[in-house]
Amino acid sequence: MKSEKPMKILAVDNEIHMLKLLERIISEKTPYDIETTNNVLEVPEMIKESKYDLIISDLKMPGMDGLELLQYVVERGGGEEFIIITAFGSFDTSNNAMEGGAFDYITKPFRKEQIIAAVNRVMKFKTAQKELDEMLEIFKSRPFESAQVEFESQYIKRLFDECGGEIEMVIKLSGLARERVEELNGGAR
Amino acid sequence: MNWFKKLIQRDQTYPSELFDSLQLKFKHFLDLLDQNNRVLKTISDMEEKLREEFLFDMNYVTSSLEDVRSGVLKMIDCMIVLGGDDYKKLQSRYKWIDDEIELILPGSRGIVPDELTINFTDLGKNRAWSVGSKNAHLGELKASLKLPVPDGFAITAWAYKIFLEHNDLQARITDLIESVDITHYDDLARISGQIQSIVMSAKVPDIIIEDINLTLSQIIESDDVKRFSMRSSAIGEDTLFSFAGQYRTYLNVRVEDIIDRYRLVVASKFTPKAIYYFLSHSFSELDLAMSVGCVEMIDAHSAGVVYTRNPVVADDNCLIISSIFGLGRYLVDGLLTPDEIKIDRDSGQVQETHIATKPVQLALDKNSGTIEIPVPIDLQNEISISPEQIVELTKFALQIEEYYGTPQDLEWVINREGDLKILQTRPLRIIETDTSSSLPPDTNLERIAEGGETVCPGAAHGRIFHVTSPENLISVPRGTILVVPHSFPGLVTVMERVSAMIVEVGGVASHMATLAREYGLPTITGMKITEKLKQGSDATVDANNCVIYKGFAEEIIKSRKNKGGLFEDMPIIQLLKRILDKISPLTLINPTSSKFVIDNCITLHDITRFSHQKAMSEMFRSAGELQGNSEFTHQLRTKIPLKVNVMLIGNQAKDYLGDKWIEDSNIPSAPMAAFWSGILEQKWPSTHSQSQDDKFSTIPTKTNSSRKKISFEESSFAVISREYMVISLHLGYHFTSVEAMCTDIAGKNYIRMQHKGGGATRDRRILRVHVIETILSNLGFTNASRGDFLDTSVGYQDKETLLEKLKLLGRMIMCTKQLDMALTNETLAKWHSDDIMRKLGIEQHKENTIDYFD
Repeated sequence: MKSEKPMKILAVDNEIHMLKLLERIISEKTPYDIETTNNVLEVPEMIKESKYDLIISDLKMPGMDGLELLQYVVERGGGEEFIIITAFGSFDTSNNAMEGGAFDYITKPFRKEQIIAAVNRVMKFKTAQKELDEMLEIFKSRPFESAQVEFESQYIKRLFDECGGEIEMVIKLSGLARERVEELNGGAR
Repeated sequence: MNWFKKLIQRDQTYPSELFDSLQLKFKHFLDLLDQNNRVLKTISDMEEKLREEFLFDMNYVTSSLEDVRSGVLKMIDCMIVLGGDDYKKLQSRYKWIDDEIELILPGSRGIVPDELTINFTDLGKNRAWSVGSKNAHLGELKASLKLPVPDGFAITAWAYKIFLEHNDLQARITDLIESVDITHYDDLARISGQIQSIVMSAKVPDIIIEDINLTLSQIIESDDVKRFSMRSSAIGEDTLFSFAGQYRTYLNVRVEDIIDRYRLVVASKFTPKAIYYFLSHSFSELDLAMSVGCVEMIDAHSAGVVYTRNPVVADDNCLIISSIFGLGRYLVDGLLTPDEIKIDRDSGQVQETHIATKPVQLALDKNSGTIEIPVPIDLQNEISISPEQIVELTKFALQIEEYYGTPQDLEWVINREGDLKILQTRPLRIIETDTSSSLPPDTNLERIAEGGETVCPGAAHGRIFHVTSPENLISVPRGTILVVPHSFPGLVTVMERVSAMIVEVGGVASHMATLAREYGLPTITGMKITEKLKQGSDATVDANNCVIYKGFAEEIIKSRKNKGGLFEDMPIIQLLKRILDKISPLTLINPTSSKFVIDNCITLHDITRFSHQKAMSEMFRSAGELQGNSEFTHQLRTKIPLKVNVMLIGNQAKDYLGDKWIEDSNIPSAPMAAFWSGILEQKWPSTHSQSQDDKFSTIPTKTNSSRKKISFEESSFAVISREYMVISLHLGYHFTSVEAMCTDIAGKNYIRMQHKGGGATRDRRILRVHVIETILSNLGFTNASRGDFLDTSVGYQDKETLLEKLKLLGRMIMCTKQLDMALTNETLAKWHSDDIMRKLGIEQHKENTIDYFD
């Protein structure tokens, strides 16, 4: 997992001040990549390739508001998570956003730690979800033998990651024969 | 106070009316306290947003500012009710401070009525809310600094409003703007075109035309053939957000064309780039009024810009002059690379001179407008400003910088006779860079371009994207390195989405450069664009060193990361900081000082502080004036040998009408009851009984019942309600006042104590203040002391906690009553503070003791 590309965030707000602050905080204080736009109407084009893991959007914007954007993103089904930024006290909208499929909401003004924590939660969730999807894929394999092969190669791959690529350690921890480990490791590559 | 005296006289016949008026006054007093509390809370909220690195938007800034403004204004209104017309001076003081805030965030008050036109000789910087800062500063330079500024006048924002209203334009414009898609240049251009044509077809009302003609006649003699330049001076231009070059300027305008050009400048508020700029900064278009400057046209031999500091290298002690032949427009529009002269700010010596090739110049056309003409071959590579002119310009520039106290960006012109004139001044944005991180990094990557000048430092990685005209801006992909031959309109619309910008022609002093710094966009100008900068190729820009590398130079990107506070350089953060500078510092501290006067209020916090203090004095004064009227004032019946007059406010006051005594066992005020129980528990100190402090320690006989006014200084006095108390204790030669609000809402609650003076020498009195500070900081109070004056408070806690603290405060006041006499040195002071805390059962926190006695 380590060598995978950093997760990507898209921030949407018509006001560039907020975007600049978000850009700064994400790029300086988290390992994630961020892109921004101050034109919500540009978002459908930007998310065509589904390269974002998370969209952070303001609620009130000219052209399309945050809830409409959320609905669009959810209906498109590109898998982006959504955090909506609302003004203080707009409980109903936050509620609507959560019901509409947002991962979280955050009220302005907020501490930098709040957004970092919210983003981390999303990313943790995305990682867990990816892993779960991989596991489910294995369960779907037929016949049993091919599921077993996939499982074993995943198992060894993870163990290698954990042991920093040290084969002796992998042999010891797995209790498998050297030949089997080498075979599986080759398969994983 | 005449009002009051009248009431007292009338009181003989209408006691209940007097009672009601008094209660009304008390109501205003409580309102004032409430507003004071709100304002202070908003201020500390704003401070917290900066300190704790919050993310907030423009709406937060404007709404907080609005809260503070309205709270302070309400306090002033209350003060006038409480203390009379003398306090009306607070209104002008408020306006003086608020004008300064308006300079920082223009338009936040809306368009305020003013004259339609104003001669520069009658203008000053504090009128920027009416004429825009460009006009206001020109007036300031001309009228106050007596610098050579051309004649001229401003057509105000109020005239703009009248122009729009006269033609019913605003609603139509607002509708159109709301329909715009701001990042599509063609859509912006379409809407912009519609709005501009609406403006151009509108009629300038006669009232404005007549006013313009009248002011013109002050400037032009009858046979004069003066020409003018018509320049935008929008409210909000040239402040924290520069709007540099967003609006139009018309040069060499004939008198008969002034009205038409006025309309054109107003219409330029709606150019695509201007609409983009204010929408993307969340400015409301409604608030940004257009004032126009009408300035005598100077036939330029040469012209240019001065930066009084290097905007990208802060510790470089240089002033930079950019200069070209002819009119300055070709320089600020970035169409010519100017001569650049760097001058040492201290010695005035020229440090560096770069002479550019200047093939053309912009000159005045015979009829009107301008014409491009060639620069004679033999002059093209000559410097466009003489050494004497450099000296004179440097002198003026530094004088202006000193006057404003911040680095300036000036525009200047030299006429055919060689006379220097200043055309504009505005604050210069300085980009703080850490020079250690600016060294050329060690990398093996191939350099594909180098040279030119840093417009805005920084580094970025992306793909090269060439654009040669505004129409192609729409296709600029996000995150690319934008390469353009020169600056052109609309560049600002992509500054938010590109990662770096390379401009082949132009200097560091163009409008494009100002905007690039505002956006924090790494930008290089004057860089020769070579074939190696291929469209779509991967590159890294090092704007500090003016080098472009092939591929991704990670080490360069890393080394250029922001090193200061996380958000420090962000415009919105700076905006809040600058507004807070006018709001939050407290400079009026000591109410017993002769400097505690309205004229010394320099922040809004000072006004609230002053009003709060004076409101209490006014309450005491009113109470004092009613001393003789036993119906309204009561005395506290207590074992403590202290005469305390008590006045009740609020609903329960009626219940006590006519009663002489209030029992100390049954004080109808929760805070006062708690406080007094502390005093009773500690008892009146019996030692040092022969000291002068006992002067008032016996109940005075009949002296108070006469007509003689009992002032604040002579008697102990309490004004109380169920949830509030303010008591001024006169314990001999020092005065202590304690104010407390204890309600069910923690956010409203506070205790505040002020203490000053004493019978002992000054150093002993100061030691006593230190003892009190030590004890109170262990009780959770926040202290501010100056000499022997102490101002201390604690707040935002629940009622029970504060009542407990009040009781301890009462005990502590008894313990320290005559302490100053005994405090001969710091060791003793430390011993006493420890001793008192032990007696009172206050836990000692280590960090709270070191400050005072070590």
